[in-house]
Amino acid sequence: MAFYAPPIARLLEELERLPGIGPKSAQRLAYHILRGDAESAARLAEAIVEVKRSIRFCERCFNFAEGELCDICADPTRDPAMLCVVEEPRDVVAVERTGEFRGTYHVLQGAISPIDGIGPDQLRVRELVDRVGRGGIVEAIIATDPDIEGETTALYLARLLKPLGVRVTRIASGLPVGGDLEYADEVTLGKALEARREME
Amino acid sequence: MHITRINLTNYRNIRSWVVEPHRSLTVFLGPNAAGKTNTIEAIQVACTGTSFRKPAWSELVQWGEPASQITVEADGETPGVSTTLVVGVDGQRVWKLNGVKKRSAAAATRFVPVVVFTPDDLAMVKGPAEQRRSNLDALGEQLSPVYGALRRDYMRVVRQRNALLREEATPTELEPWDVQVITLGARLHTHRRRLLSRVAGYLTPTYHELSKGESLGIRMVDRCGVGETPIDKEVSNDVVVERLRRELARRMSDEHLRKVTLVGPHRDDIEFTINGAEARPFASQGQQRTIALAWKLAEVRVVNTVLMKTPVLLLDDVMSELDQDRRAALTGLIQQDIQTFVTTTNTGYFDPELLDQATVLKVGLGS
Ligand SMILES: [Zn+2]
Repeated sequence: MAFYAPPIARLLEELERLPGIGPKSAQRLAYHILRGDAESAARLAEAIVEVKRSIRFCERCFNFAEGELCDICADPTRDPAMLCVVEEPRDVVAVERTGEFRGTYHVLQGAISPIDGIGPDQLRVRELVDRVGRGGIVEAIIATDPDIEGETTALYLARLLKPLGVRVTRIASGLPVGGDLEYADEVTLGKALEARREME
Repeated sequence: MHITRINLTNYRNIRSWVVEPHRSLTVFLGPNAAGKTNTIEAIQVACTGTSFRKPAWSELVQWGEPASQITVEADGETPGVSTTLVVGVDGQRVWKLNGVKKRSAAAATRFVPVVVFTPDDLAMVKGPAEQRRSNLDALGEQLSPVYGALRRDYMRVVRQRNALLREEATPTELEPWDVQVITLGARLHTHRRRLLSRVAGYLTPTYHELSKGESLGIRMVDRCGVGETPIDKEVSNDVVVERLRRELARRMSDEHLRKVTLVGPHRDDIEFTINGAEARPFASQGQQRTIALAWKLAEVRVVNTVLMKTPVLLLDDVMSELDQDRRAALTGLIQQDIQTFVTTTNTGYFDPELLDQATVLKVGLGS
């Protein structure tokens, strides 16, 4: 690494912090940026700064939001009694795309994974329990990914939420084994929502 | 099934090689360390998505090259199947079936079942339990993608739960993982037991015949709390769920003390007896080898019955380890239309008549 001029080394170091980016990919990206003109580099840098400045997490559901609340939470036509619990903001997009759901969301911002040091405290679980505890929610649909971590998170949440008197359901697992919710095609995810079942 | 063509590019020590194998026997002849095994491995990888050598994927790429490619074409019930795997130096894999990109290995492989027999397998009786489990699981994965997915999911649950145990987690945090160990563990154990019973159905008579009259017993030593149950007796999934639940509760304090998951099918073992005596401590080397051989012959039969396809037999350097009678038992399969690939340092292990109808390919050092 000492073979690079300090500014390049710094860029490589920052790029390598990104998920899924190893030393090789970081080099490729850095070369691309260096070969391009100053304007496109500035556009990229601005976009990064701007997204951090203007986008934050919705105070109610922890989806991305431009204001205090996201568009969905701010929409009075959405049914607050139906709550769909997902792992990531991208899963909100996937469920929205099905057009089958008119309730609201709760974004956990991950799934329980002890190997990665992620437990309930690292997720928006406490906020979910508080939200359900405040009342007004009839059904919580757990739509975490159909993989091991998503299933375990669903089991964990069911234990926490059921004593609060809500109906807790799980989307049907017609999704491919080990799959991501995001990659499930719309028909499949729509069906999975429809065919949800009550959790024990 | 028959493999009709193998095309390797920048694969391990092979820069470029096209093999058009014989429908019955293809022999890769060469000195040790010449890379004969590489071709056998490539066939297994393209047919099943895994290698018995368990390498890091990047190891398959020839030194200094950006990527490695294996294409295996086969003929049989599904005519003209071609599976291609491209592995990058970063270990990234692209699978293609008949030239069309597939999202997973499972979608591009599994057309040609294989039975692999290596010198390591000869030690399966006395080797670690892991070896016996993975022999059985590798067969299960070929028979059903569900078996493979179940095993991978279950192993992931164990890793996650072990991580929690190391952190001295609370019972509330452990509970969902316990549920997963019980649900997935029971399913895996039930599938495994059923598969072992199938294998045993062929293994016992084959061993009896090869050993000229000794009787082989097979027992599943489980860590699921099921206990002594003859292998030919079906144990229902519900029963295993109940036993696992009880066993997990019973060993809870041990697990917390040792910070590792002690209960579940990841600790299952298979035990053999010969004429009633435990094989692990008492079997002679010859008897152990006969068990291993009979096991592989049983795999061929199980694949045949379950998938209704003939597997391809891959024999890596085992001929020199077997005596003439046992070699004859293996080469007998060739006459039963089982396409066979063999690596050897010496063709003297084969019947000259057999070699007359075989393709012998010389593999030299650095070729
Ligand atoms: Zn919101």
